[in-house]
Amino acid sequence: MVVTATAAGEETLLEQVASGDREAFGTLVRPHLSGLLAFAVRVAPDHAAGEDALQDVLSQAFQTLQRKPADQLSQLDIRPWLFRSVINRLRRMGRQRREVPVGLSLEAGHSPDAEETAGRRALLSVVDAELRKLPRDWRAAILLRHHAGYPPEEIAQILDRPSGTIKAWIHRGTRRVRAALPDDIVEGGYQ
Amino acid sequence: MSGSDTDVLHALIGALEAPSVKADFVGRALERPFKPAGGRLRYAEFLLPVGTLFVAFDDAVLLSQVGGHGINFEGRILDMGYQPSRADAPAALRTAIDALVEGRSRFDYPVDTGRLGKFQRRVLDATRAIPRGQVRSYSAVAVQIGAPAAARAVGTALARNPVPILIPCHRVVRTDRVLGEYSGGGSEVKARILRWEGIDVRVQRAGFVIA
Repeated sequence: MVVTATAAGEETLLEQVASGDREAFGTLVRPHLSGLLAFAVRVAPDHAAGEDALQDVLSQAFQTLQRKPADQLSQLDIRPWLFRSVINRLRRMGRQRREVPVGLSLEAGHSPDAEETAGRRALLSVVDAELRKLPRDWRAAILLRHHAGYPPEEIAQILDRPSGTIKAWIHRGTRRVRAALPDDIVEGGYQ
Repeated sequence: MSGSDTDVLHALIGALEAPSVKADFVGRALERPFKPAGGRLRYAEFLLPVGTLFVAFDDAVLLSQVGGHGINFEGRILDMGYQPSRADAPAALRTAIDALVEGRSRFDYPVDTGRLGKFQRRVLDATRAIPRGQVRSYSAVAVQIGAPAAARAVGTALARNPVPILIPCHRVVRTDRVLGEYSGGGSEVKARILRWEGIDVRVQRAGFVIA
């Protein structure tokens, strides 16, 4: 779970960013980067494309924030706004080149957790691979729900689709992933 | 899928690895020159009783949004590959929007639908002709465009209407008179817009329903 800046702290930072302060921009977005990157690399056709998309989004966000009047800045919720920018950029990239599904690009054991068992890692890599087989927007909805922790109504705003559609994507997509897993797993996997 | 299965999946997906972020990630991002491919795109704001209407235009309207914040609208313009630029609307666009919101005519200004599919264009054309104060069902629109079995696809096409309010997708509701979804902020916003247009919308167990 990421630690998010408090709303008040975020507001002051936004003002500094608006005056072109790069350090402040870094401080503003850093708490969200890990979650955004986890999202971007799984929704994008591959890891590199996901990183690329997120960097474009950050560069664009920095430009946008500098041209904002204070009243608009105070109303901005930075985290969902960035998620929304990431998905929109990936959608545009998807239209520009054919999406070629590739295998899992996150290396297993990339940052191994000492407490994680091999069985659990294997299970997670199956989940990751099954997510890849879903349509991009389903995958995005599921990650926003279960990884980023947004309720369906907010996902509807981020993905710009009706909340009924979002719920259906999450339900059907999650069911497909479940079907690919062994029957006897319990919460937390094989522990 | 049982409830406990949902919990298992929730825990597993939540535990998926977040890739490590290199220390200079933001720094490298900010070094990137940001050049929108499409050049500048102007947009204007119109204050309506149901919220601010944002409209992006050149010689045609490309995008609109009702409610929300200008910064989100600018983000959507950037996502289309343009640099947003706040501007005054040309007189012809103002006149067209005035006539629309006063119910004197349909939106009489070009809308750029070139990026949309043929089916969606047909749906939006049919929807554009629905007068203020009236509603149609998804299936009626499907019949009108000669695709009677495609009521559901009509719903999807309208959910992706790039120009809400201007092409009044809020005037298309379910056959049982339940409002149905509205991508511009949910059925509550749809209810607010229809009430503003003089439609009697009630709250019932099924949701917002036209009386």
